[in-house]
Amino acid sequence: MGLKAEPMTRILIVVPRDRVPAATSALYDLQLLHVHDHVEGRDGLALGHPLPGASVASEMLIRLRAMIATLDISEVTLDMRRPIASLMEELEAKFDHLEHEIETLGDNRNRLRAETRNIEQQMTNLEPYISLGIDLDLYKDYETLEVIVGNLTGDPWKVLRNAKIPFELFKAKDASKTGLFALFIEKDRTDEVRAIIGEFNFTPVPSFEGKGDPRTVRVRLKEKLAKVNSALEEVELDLKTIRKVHGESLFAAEEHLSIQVEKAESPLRCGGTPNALFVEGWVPSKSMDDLEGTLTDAVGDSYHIEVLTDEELAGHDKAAVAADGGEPTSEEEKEGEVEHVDTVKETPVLSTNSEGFKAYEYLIKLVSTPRYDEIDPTLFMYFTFPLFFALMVGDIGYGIMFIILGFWMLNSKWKGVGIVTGITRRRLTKMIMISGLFTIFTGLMYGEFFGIELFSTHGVLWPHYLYVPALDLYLPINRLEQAMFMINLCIYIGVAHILLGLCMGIVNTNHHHGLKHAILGKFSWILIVIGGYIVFRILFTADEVVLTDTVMMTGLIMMISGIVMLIAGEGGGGLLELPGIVSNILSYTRLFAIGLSSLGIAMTFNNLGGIMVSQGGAMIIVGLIVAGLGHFINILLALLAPSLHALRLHYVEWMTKFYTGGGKEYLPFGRERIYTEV
Amino acid sequence: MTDIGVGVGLIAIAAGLAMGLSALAAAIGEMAIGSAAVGATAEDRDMFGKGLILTVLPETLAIFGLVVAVLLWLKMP
Amino acid sequence: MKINPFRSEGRAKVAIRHFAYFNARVLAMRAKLLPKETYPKFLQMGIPEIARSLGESEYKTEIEQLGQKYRGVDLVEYSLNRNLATTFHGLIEKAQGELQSLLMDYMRYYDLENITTALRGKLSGISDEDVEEAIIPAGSLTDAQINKLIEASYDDTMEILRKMGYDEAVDLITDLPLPEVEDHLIKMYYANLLEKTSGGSKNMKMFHHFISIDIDFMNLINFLRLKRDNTPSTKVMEYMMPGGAQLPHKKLKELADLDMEEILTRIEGLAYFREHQGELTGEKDSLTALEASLLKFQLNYAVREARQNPLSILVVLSYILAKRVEVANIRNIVRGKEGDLPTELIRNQLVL
Repeated sequence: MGLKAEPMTRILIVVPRDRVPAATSALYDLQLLHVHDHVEGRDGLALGHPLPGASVASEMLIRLRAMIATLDISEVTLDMRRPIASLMEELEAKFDHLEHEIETLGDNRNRLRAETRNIEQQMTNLEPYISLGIDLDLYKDYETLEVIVGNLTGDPWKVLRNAKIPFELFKAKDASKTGLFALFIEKDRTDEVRAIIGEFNFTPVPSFEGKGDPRTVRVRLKEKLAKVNSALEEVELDLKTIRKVHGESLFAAEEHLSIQVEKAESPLRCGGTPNALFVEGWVPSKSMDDLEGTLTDAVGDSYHIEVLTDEELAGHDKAAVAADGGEPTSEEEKEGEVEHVDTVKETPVLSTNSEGFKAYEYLIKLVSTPRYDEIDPTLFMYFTFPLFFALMVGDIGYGIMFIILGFWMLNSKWKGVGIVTGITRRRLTKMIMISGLFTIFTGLMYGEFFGIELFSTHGVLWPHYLYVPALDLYLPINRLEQAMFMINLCIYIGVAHILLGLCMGIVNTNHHHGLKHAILGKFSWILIVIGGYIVFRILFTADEVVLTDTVMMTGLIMMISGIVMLIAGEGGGGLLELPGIVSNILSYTRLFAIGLSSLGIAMTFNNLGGIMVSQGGAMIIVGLIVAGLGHFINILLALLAPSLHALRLHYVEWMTKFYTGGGKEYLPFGRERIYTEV
Repeated sequence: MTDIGVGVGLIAIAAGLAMGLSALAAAIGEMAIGSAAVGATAEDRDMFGKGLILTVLPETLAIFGLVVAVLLWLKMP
Repeated sequence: MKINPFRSEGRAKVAIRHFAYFNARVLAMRAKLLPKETYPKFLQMGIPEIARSLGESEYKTEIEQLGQKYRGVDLVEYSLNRNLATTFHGLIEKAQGELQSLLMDYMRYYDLENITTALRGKLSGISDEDVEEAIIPAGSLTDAQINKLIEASYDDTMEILRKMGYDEAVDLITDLPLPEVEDHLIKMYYANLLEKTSGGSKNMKMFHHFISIDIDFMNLINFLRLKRDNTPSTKVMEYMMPGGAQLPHKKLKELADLDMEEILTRIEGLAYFREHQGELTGEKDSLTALEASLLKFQLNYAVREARQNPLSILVVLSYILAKRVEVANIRNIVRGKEGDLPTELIRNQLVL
């Protein structure tokens, strides 16, 4: 259940050339075969050739897609799927005409848009000249005068006067703010003046081509803009009409043509000889009969199908090595083994998790898809992720809020944003609700409700402790007062979680590299973690350390034999990883630390609100709003930080102990028709 | 104002330093990672999740600092 | 005030966090380059299929925009040029300070290309439209400026070029044939880049280094072409760009008197080929394959250096090189198909 990927069978199908179209089409519609893309030259086979028709369909598809892009259609909702025969017939009849129409309209739209941008740019450029207020003719066409227009800060005019440079200055009305000016000087002193005003952050204003009063020019520009805009609107309207009438059929035709092209180009993914096509790939083992049946229906028994087993593939390789003239030595045995691992690595992975687990599967896949032959950690994460999350948040009130949020997201009309849409959103919602449930339980354990202590010494509901003699533990656990206990608890959890990871590591390594590697590489760490934990615990807590104590001895022996095994397995370099495991375990103290910060924020806002409320009057309402707002922010933060840290504990501390990843997602050849039907 | 004594004051300062300095270190680490994460997400939205997680990796430093600060705080009478 | 058409200002040092941001974007873009398995498939396809397939990749926007107006080779070439320009402009827009100004100046190479394309069009009477298709507006010239260049008469063009600051080129053009002017412009371009980046920050130095490698490979390719045509060695040296990293003028002079066989052996001793002894001498008679493999070595070398300096300008420079190679590969395939070249011949031109 969930731990293992769906079993796959690797097959090779050989189809004679004249049956290729029928066979690939059948395989496409079946959507079961995960094609192993052929690399040119592998097994001495070239790539297959696209089927005739691919080019013509491609050409049409390019034009169709260009039309769809111009019409700006991203999705359509069809009442019913279109039968392809009539659809294509209808399209053929109107294609050229429609294309021409859309192209003309699109060109017009682009031209008008460019014009709008141009006019708007001109209006911005005109702005400074309006504030200066002089006629535009006055800025240019002088024999001996130079005009400088721009902004600057400060007062260079004194400097100009001192330098005995004659000038005439016009300042804008709001010159004190913008420093906008127009300066008239003699042409031959331009460089001198530029040097001086350059010291005052001078930035030139682009010159403006035009005549007369700048305000009249602006009015004229505005009129022009309005005209262009209305023309643009008209074009948009025409395009909209076309979209309404033809959009659906264009979109449906795009789907059909894409499928045709994909079918026609499928030989490019396979090996080929002039007479036959070699299709290699995987099918879920349970669907083998299905596949064979479909193929037989399509092409009779003219095809050849072969199941490729790992042994055969490895043996095939060994044979190839032997044929090269080398004697099969132990080294080549090893090569065979490597080849075996490679075929496993290539095998597509179809996870067997049921829908409820998919959200957590997505979290694992953020790192990488599990390999075909390794344990899928999703199942474990289903419990540990919300547990860690809840240990950090740990508040009854927040837990309830998460569940309410979840219900709202399930029932509201809000479609979600970005990647949080559709199925991802639904899965995310479930995840939030599960985490909320866990949070209520841990909240009970901590006795917290919106940062208020419900039970224990200062408890507002029930100022008592519950003593659990078996564990020598008082419930609820006050996180602030029992910090030491919390840190210890975190370390317990860390050790347990890492041990779980190491155990999974043994299983995986045994699969990949054999038992010896599993014991030396993973079991050694189990001994080190358990032994080390015992030793350090005694060192830090016992009043007197007695080496001959049985517990201490056991710990020491476990730790040392673990280290010896590690060195035997990985050499001296393994020792360098020892500090790492300590920091891995200590890293779980974040379960306490992050919670502390969340609790701190909640308590701060409670106090703040409390002080305001105690002043009475209108302040009661203000206080409640402040506290409410604070908790709202804290809940959002609580969704973010604890989930990230819970994830991190899984990714960095846990999964590194057993996870290889790098598996390939099972993506069967073919696709579902959404807008068309055969 | 009660006299809390030099020793207790020093412990408090030590706790503050443990928290503050480690948070600073974490912040420096997160600066570059965060920038890179934003950059990667700008090109490819699917990188958002990965970027977010990578960004919080150095936060461990701050958490160790907080735990040390708490341990010191427990030592205060 | 004299305008230097090769240089932009902007010397603000770039913070490490900007490099973290910028390079992450560049790496994400690099991950979207076509995988090398694509090219054998393209070789099997017809031109419309290649165009459609490009339309499903990073070239989607361009193919969609131009898909109604153009067909076949024109569609692909035009889309490639546009995509190259938008990609490089995008890079410049995302960059800051010194990094931005270096990239801007590096891209001015396309200004030179566009100017010579426009001039060539005028001199040989090619239609404005055909010239426009060969333009790659990735440099600092705006579309309006380029259009003016194309549409203006020959004399007006000279005036425009003078206004842009290409005085020297205009002076030369009356005496020299166009290819030599082009050569001269490129020399000025590289000299300016080298001068701008001599000294200065660490990234300036890295850029300098990258440019001198660029010069090395350009010299090498020109050198081999000239040698194959049995150009006398003094003439060969005239075409060589000064400032190469491992092949300075002196070394090239030594090589110029040797025969092809020996030249290739000597070249193999350079650091660029150290780990791949013997791979370069594959086919001596056909320079196409040799040039492709040289380009591949340059790319690999750039990528390796970028990997060693992940927070430097080298990352974006190696991406630019890789993107250029991708575009050149697709262009070679499409042109080869248009000219009905045998597949093997096209394959030889590809940098894989």
